[in-house]
Parts: sequence; structure tokens; C-alpha cells
Amino acid sequence: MADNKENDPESQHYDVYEVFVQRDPLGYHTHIGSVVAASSEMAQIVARENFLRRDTAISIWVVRQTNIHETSYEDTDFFVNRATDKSYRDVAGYVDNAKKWKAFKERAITIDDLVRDAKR
Amino acid sequence: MDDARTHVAVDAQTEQALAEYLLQLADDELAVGQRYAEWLGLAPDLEEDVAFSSISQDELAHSLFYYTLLENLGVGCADELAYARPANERRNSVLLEQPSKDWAYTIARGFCFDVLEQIRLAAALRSTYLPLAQGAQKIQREERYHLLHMQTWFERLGMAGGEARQRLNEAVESLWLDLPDLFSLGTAGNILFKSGVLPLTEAELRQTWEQQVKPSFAHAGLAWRSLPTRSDKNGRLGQHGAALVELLQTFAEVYRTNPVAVW
Amino acid sequence: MSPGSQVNGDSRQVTFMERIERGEKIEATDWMPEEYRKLLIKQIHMHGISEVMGAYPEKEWVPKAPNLRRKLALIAKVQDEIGHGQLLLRVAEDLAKPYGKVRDDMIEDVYTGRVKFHNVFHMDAPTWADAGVIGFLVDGGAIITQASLLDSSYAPYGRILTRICAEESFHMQHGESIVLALAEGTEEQREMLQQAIHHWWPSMMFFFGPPEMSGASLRMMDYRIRTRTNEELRQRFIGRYAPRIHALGLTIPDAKLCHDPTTDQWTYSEPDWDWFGHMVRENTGPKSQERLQMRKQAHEGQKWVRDAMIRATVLQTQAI
Repeated sequence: MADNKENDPESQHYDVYEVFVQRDPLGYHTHIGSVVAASSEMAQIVARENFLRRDTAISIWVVRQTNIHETSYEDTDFFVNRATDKSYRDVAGYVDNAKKWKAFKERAITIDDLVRDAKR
Repeated sequence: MDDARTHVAVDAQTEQALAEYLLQLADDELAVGQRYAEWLGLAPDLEEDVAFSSISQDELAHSLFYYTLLENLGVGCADELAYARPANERRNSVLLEQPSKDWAYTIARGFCFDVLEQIRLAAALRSTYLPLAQGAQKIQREERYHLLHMQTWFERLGMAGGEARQRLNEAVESLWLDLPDLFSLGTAGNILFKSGVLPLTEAELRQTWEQQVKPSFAHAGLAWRSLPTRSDKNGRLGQHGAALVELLQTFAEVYRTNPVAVW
Repeated sequence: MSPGSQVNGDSRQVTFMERIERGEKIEATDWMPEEYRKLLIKQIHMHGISEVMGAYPEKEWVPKAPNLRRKLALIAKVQDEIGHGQLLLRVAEDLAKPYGKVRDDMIEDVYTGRVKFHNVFHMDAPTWADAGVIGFLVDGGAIITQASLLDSSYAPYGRILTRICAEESFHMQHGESIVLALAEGTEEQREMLQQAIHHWWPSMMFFFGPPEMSGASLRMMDYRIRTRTNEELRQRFIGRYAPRIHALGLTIPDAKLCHDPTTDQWTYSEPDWDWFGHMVRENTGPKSQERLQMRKQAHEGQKWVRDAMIRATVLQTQAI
């Protein structure tokens, strides 16, 4: 709610709510747009028809825009994560294992094998 | 056609009562859907314009559903039933044909109607007429949003006090006069109940409605008033005001130029 | 000359223009030249308001639609127009934040004359056929324009245009469906359709703007807010729609209209630029004032509703 609402009735206006939609149980909430509304309840009610009158979904979040803290698009360094070697974080950093297993006449276990086992 | 009939014990009397009831449902939805659609481009804010438009689409789509059930019963073709019947053959509640006046009236009427819809639909789920029970299941899911929407608006306009509550109060005062036939089942009530087509009496309908509406009046800070028992017009018997004549005049303006043409 | 070079010593401007020229996308919170921001606001505000005002001509036909299916489709279509207005205004509002502008200001600008809207929405729609032809030609033209903006340098605009174009394709089908039904219909229905096409064609020629583009439009090209000229868009429109109208056995009210296969260009009669221009600037079209009044009534006449909803939230918060 805007700070001015109680003090100055002439400058009252709706707040902006950003809208996030989850489409299926294993999906994430994804940003889809924004609405202006008098309250979070009304924001939810109108968001449903403003964004989901054709598509299906299972959850809507509305978040007051002023509550979003964002990074800067210009500061690309903020997102640098591979400027130096980070292969120790990845599967690809451990290609030797397979060769060594071969020497022991065994095959390396992959995550896919274990997932397949779990589903059996 | 035969398919639809097999689900109900079809003596002529029951079938007539069923058709009567389906007309009440269809005509209710048509009148209120048409009134709602008049808000297009005129709602208090753009977001609400979009939301409210969905509700008018739903109501009109429900009327099409009920007219199609009538078509399956051999009563007439759906669009003809919607377009060609004069006012004195319409079975909608007088409340739903009234012009929308202002936003407070629209919300108050919408809330009153949506509570009624929920009760009717809950009963229809147990109808011995299977197509109605099956339709009710789908329609009820859409109506839940309508009720949430109307109830939220109704309570908040009241909670705000001032002009909004005053307008809401005036709206309630005006629509209260038109309430009685909302609970009427016209000439069909007894047979509908006995045959199980609608396992619900007028008295139950009125009581349940009152129980469900009352708490929102309290939340909205509005005084409760007792329900009027009769009004000068019962829409279920084809008695209507000038508002319906005007509504239908507009509704069928293009259709009437050539009812057999494909549009 | 690129815009960046005009501002000596402003390295941010130079960097910005480099980003534009590399085809990068700009986001709402990025630094941007004030000129870019103002051009975007002007374009997107006008676009959004055009959608909102575009609801009115078809709204008139909603109560009279000749069968329930057409009625449902038309309500859904008008709903989309308002919805597109909402999406576009949200983008414009976020851009206008530094100027302290909110939704209410964006709407008030319509009836105080500070923002213009497309000429087509000043026109009357006298018959049911107009409801169809608006979907057919006006939405057809709008999609051509909007599709050309999908690659706009301003990412939030491009994002919502993707959504808008998807919905507009329903509008196009809806309009064509009405038009085709009338074209296959009775003598009277065909005549009604023919009249409507004659009614809307000159408006559509004006719709894309003059071949000689304004300074602001050219600057929008520099900033890659838009990437196609008015004339390119108009040529595409004629190329798509003139053959289809002829295929229906109907005429277009332009004796000069013809296609040159060697240049692939259409010759056409210029619309009355002054008449249309004056209409858009001064709101003097057949329906301008009536529709502006509707918008004003919707907004000002119902300020009490919005105020009440805010007050209810304040009271509720205080009660907790």
C-alpha cells in the first residue's frame, strides 16, 4: 500500500502487484506480468482473469512491486561464475573415473542408472 | 434426443416441469449475462473490466448450455429459444433483467444471484435428470470464482463506509423488492421435487440463501432486513417489467432482421 | 547519424547506443536516455490507449450479436482489447515512474487530450458487418504493426507483444469467421459486408501513417523501438487483404489500387491525411466525443469505487 493513502486521499491510487504463475506441481512460479489493485486479495482475483483466462495453472502469487529487490542488468560481473576453472563442481570434471573403473573391469555408475533403479 | 430422455422418469408432467425449470435457469443466465456485458469498457478499472467480462461470458455460456438441454428435449433450437421468445414467455427472475444502475447495485445483485446459483447447483448435482447433474458439476466450478469475486467486492465496498456503503445500502433496498421470484420455481416446484429433478423446495432455497448471505451483510456493515414474501411480478410466470422488453429488443435486433440466415 | 553521436561527452549515451546497435534488449530498470524513455512512453501509452478505446466500437455490437456463440466470441474479443490495454499501460507506467505517473494519470490523459489513439477507433460502426470487418481489417492491420514491433529494443514491450499477438490471432479468426458467414449469406448480408469494407478501407490506409515519417517516428527507428517504415507496413497490409477482398467478389473503394509485379508494390489513393490527422489530434471523428465520454465516465464516474476499495484495505490493515 502506498504511504500516501492515509494522509492524502486526493493522491490515492492502486498499488502495482507483480504476478507469478505456477503451471504444474513440479513447475516453478514464473513471472507473467503485473496488475494494479487495491489489495492483495483483489490483485489475486483480477490476476486470474487478466493472465489465465486461456491457460491453466495451479497457483498464483502476487507480490507488491515495491517488495521486489532486483539486480542490475548492467552489472554483468555479478553473474560471472566461470571466469576461472570451476570444473571441480561439474560431472565433466571427473571424466577420469570412468577410465579407472574400466581398469577394474567395472562400469562407472551414472545418475541415470540410479534414477532408473528408483523407478523400477 | 432419446438419449437425454432416458435419464428421467418421463411422464409428460415431469417433462414439462423439467422444461419449465431449464427455461428458468437459461433465462436467468441470459438476462444477467446480458446486463453484465453492458459493463464492457466501463468497469471501475481495467483489471476489473477483464475479470468481470469473464463472468458475463460464463453466465451467457451457461444459458447456452441450458438452452441446448432444452433443444435435446425437443423444446426448440437453442438460439431460437434465446432470441425469439417474447418477454411474456421468459422465465427469468425480475431481479436479473433490471438495468445495472451503478457498480454497487451490480455487485449486490451479483452476490445475491451467485449465492442462489450455488444452492441451486448443489441441489442439481443430485438431480435424477442426469444431463442437469453433469452440467451442474462443471458449472459449479466456474461459479465458485463468481461468488468469491462478488463476495469480496460486496464486503469491501461495505467495509469502506462512506459513499460506497451508502450506495450499497441503496442497491440492497432497491433489489430487495425484486427478490421474491428469485426463490420461486413457478408452476414446476412440486413436480420437480417429487420427481427428484430438483431435490430442493422453495422454502429450503430461501432459508439456505438467507443463512449464506447474512454473514456478508455483517462484514459489510449493512443492517439485515427480512425477506419480502411477494412482489407484484413473478418472472417465473412470465410477468416482467419494461426492462426485459427493452433488453430483448436490443438482444434480438440483428437476429430479427433474418432469423433463418446464418450469421 | 546515430543518436549517440549527438551527445558529446555523455559516455552513457554512447554505451547505450552501442547496446542498441548490437541488438541488445533494454529493460525497465536499465539506464536509458531520457529521449528513449519519452519516445517509449509516447508509443506504448498511445498503443495501450488505442486498445482500450478500441473496445468501444465492437462493444456496441455485443448486446446485439445475432447468436449466442457470436456474442460470447465478441465479448471475449473486447475483453482481450481491454486486457491488451492493461498489459501495455503497465509497461508504460513502469517507464513513467520517474515522472510520478500512475494508471490514473494514463487514463486521464485520454479525455484531457494529452494522448491520442488510432483513427479507426474514432469511426462509427453502423452495422453488424462492421463488427466483423473491424476484426478482419483493423485487427489484421494491427497484427501487421504489432508483429513488426516484436523485435523492439525495449524488452518489456517485446515480451507482452508476444502475448498480444497470440491473442490477436484469435481476433483475426473471429473477424474472418463473421466476414465469411456474411459473404456466403443472403444478398442483404453481402451488401452489408460490402458497405462495411468501403467504410473501413480509407481508415486503414491512414492507419499506418504517412509515407513521409515524422521526426519522432524516425527517432524510434534509430532506437530500434520500431524497425519498419509506415509504407512497408501499409504495403504488407494491402498485399494481404486486397486479394482476399477481391476473392470474396467484393470491391475496394479505390480506383487507383493496383499491383506492380515488377516492384511488388501497390499503388493506392492517398487517404485524406488532413481530415484524418485533424480527427485524431482534435478528437473530431464521428464517435470521438461519445467514446471519450464513456472512458471519462468509467474512470471519473467511478473514482468512488476505487477510493472505497483502497479505504477498505487501509481499514483492514489498521484493524490487524
